[in-house]
Amino acid sequence: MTDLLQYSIEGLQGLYRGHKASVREVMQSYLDSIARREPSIKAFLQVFGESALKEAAALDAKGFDGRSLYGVPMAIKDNLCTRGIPTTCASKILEGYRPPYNATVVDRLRAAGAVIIGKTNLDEFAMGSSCENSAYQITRNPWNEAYAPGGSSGGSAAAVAADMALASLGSDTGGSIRQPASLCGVVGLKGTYGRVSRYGLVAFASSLDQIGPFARDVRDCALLMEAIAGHDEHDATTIPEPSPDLHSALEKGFDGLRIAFPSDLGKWEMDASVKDIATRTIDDLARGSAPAAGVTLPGMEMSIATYYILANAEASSNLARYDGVKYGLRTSSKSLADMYDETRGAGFGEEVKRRILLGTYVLSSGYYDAYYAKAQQVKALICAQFEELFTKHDLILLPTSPTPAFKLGERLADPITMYLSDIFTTPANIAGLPAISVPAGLAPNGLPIGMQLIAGWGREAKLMRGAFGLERIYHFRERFVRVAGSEGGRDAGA
Amino acid sequence: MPAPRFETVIGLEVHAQLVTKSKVFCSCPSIYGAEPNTMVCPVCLGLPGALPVLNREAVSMAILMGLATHCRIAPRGVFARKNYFYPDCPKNYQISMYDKPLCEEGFIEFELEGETRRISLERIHLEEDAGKLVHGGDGGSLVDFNRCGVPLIEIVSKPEICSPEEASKYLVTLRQLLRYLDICDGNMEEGSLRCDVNISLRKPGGALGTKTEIKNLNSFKAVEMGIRFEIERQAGILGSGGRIEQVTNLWDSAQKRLLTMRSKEYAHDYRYFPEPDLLPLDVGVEWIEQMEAKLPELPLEREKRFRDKLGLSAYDASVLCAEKVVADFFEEALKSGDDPKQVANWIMRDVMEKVNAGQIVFGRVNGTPLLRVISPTQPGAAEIIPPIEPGHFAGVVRVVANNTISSSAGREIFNAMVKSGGGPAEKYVESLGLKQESDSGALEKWVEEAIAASPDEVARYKAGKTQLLGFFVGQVMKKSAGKANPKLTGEIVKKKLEG
Amino acid sequence: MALTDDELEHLERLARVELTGESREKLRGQLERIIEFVKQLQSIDTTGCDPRAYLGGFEAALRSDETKPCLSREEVLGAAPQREKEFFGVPPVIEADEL
Repeated sequence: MTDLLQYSIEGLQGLYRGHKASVREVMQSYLDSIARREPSIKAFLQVFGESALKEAAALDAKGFDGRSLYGVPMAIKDNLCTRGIPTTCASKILEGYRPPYNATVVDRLRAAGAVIIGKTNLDEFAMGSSCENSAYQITRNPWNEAYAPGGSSGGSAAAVAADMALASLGSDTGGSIRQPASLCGVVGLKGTYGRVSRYGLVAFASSLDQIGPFARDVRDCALLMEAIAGHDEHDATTIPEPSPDLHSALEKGFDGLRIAFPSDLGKWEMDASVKDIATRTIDDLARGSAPAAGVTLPGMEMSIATYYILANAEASSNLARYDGVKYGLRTSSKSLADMYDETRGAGFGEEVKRRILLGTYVLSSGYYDAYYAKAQQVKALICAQFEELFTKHDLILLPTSPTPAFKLGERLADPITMYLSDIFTTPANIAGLPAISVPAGLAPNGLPIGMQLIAGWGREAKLMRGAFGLERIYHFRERFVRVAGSEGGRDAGA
Repeated sequence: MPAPRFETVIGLEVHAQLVTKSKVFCSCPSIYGAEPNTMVCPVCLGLPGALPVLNREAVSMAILMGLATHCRIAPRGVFARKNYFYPDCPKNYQISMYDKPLCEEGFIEFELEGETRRISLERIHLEEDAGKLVHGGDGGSLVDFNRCGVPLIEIVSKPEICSPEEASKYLVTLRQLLRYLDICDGNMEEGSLRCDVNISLRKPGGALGTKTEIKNLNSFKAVEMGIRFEIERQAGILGSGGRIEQVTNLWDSAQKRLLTMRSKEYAHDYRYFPEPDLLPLDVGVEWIEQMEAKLPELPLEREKRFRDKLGLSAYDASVLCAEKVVADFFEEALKSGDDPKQVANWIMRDVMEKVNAGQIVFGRVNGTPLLRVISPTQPGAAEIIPPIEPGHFAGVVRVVANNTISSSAGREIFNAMVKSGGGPAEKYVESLGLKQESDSGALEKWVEEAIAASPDEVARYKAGKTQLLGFFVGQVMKKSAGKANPKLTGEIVKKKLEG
Repeated sequence: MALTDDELEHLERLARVELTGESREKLRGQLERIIEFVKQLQSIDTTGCDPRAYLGGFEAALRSDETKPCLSREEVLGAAPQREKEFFGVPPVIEADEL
């Protein structure tokens, strides 16, 4: 029953409730889809065929129980700890490592009834924008397999884009959910910093990392975020207040929301097709109910440099634990110093080493004040500027990525070019603000382009409403998506 | 030619393990001596993805120590990562505090050679302990992570200590304070109290010299010895015109010597930065007031009260106040209304003798101080044998003080309690038949018999050898099978012999 | 801005990350470019707001002093690259020379 792949989360649950399909059948459809497309896309580091079917059977035996993610086949990024199941972060240094505990989000997904169908590829330790930094395999963009899916959550984005999972989880430190979402034509959401527990997320940059969902549409994304969000006693940085309802008010769309866009968009280097979509969106809004105001965006000039100092500094410290003593790779060495050097030398890829060294540099004695301390101050400045902006506006609209997907291998030569692709996404990480990428259109070469919304601190509800509004403007799925194996391109929702 | 005289400048960094039930950043039990690698979880083991969550009780204890040492409690404390690679450090960084510690600018006072000395404190901060390294059989090392994450407070003094003796006294005072606050048991051998020393020499009035560090000092004696060795070593180098290198020395307790740490392995750039996984700690006025209310009477105040209100000597007061449980026991015993000096003497002499012999130990049940009886032949007997409560002990003091029994009989009762447990003294008086004879009629009869039986001694006494009084008293004690009240007997003998 | 051999070595030692040969030179060049790039922050005028502003201003989360079950020894040592009975084995940690 290949048309089972068409259903959104609520669509599926309608089928379950009405006994029109079993969880097992749905799971099998997705596994079949994986069998068809995964050999070329390589989004997964592990596929849990047998266990997923077993879990599905168990869910069928109990019957539909109304849990928000009952029977939803999900993929999760391989930097999320899964008890007893290898969690590699796409690095050789954690090859075969099996955590003795689950990430909080994994527990919450399972508590909501989801079935985890596999663990997806990423740039090693979430450091990268193309998935080409994985130590195991390269993931390809389902829209054109010569192109990158984006990163670092490239595997999770590709899995959803290729209908190999109905939804997935990724992590976003400088854009690692939103950028691959944009490049793969799916919805990708990063909540307010602290909205989702990081317990069990292998840390890259502690003050920036956030876990978030990929989905086909905004509504699914909202349901997923609701299932994983909320205070966790294991993560002292989580927001203590209850997380907001995100799906009930979606229909309101842009109603009453004040939208802003960067008036100086012209000065940022971007693909003509991206600029075109951005301009047309603003025009559509002007003609519709939500005219957008031009503003100067905070943080644009400084965000990349600030991000790279703060993120790599924290990473250099977070990755110090990979030393061959307790788990993971250890080279055979005569002395302790050699063991550290050789293990880490062999276990880490180039990009990871580069960032560790940069992070070490900006923290080292003599440089701390000029780099790290300075970056912290700039961060505070960016926060304050955004706060000011959000007193007058509810949402900021801007592109997610300056370009659509680039060819595999194209960006590897110069790291700075790669870094600059994060220019539109890093401000939201630095300021801890919720942000989402919604698929907007296609470039002339047929690759997707997403548009981004940023909302004020804690304002995911407004963000989702705005995203829903954008979705209605773009009609992306109706226009461009042929669900694998189905007759038409329509999302036969509930 | 005599070496030039130098001034010694010493600063101490003391690490005290807090006696919380759980570790500082996770809920693992904080237990000494457990089987290796059984008291760990993803957090204290530093597994990928694990995150620290701060133990409120550890902060309370740190605040208490800050208040007890007259520190300023910082309105905002910030945790920081101290980055260095070492096998006992699972994350290869330690969560500590750097430029925003919890407490600052306090002091510790003590008496040294008749003078009151005050040593200023730089700071007190909270941090996590590391694991333990032991030497493996094949030349490698073995790591046990149980101790990782146990809460420590680090107490840093200003470099105002001038001698090994002063350092030792400072440490003793610090330890006493920690124990009074019930936040640390101060056991240097087990490592719940650790001391690192920073030491430099300078010409009197001259600039500060280069300082070296001494680590791994595991007893008070080692602290004094290690400092002396290092002073000698530095003086030797400076005396012959050399320069002091900034090294870290390890105290080798087995061989009683100093070893230099290989400085290559220890590039001391810790690259401190604020811990992003923990929010800044804002200690509000309420919390501070809560902890102020919890401060017990501190040793110096208590000693003063013992001197001024109870009339004890400075020496007696300091002995009784050295351990809070002893002072508490003393004061509980006083509630029965006996003379403080008598009770103090009994404790310092008889009780302490038995404590030092390992027969009894001070302890508490539900907060009440008491003496637990240890039987060497019956392990666990401390549970079965009833403890000696302050009231029982006071009873012994009383029956001696009011002449119901002699003081040697009193000792006998106490010994009996130490063997078979505490109880009302009167019961023991009866069961041991120790009531002394104080009836003057009976006593006079025995005295007359003793005098009649020893005419030579009578003559020598009358000739001036008055110390023979004891002989006659002894004779009466024999006749009375020890029951005669020796004091009264002595008075009667004197009266009869001197007329 | 050039990164000297000493500086690079110092970083490698601090970070315990070993670079060799061609890879090392390539990395040095890239590091230099990145350091130059991030230097631009120094020209920004900043007056300190609270660097923790991204956190939303709520109070530090504290735990009560209660214990919970630990990992079993198997879970702890199971992944050890070198296990010596109940311990993790590491190459010799030689601390000190005699003075």
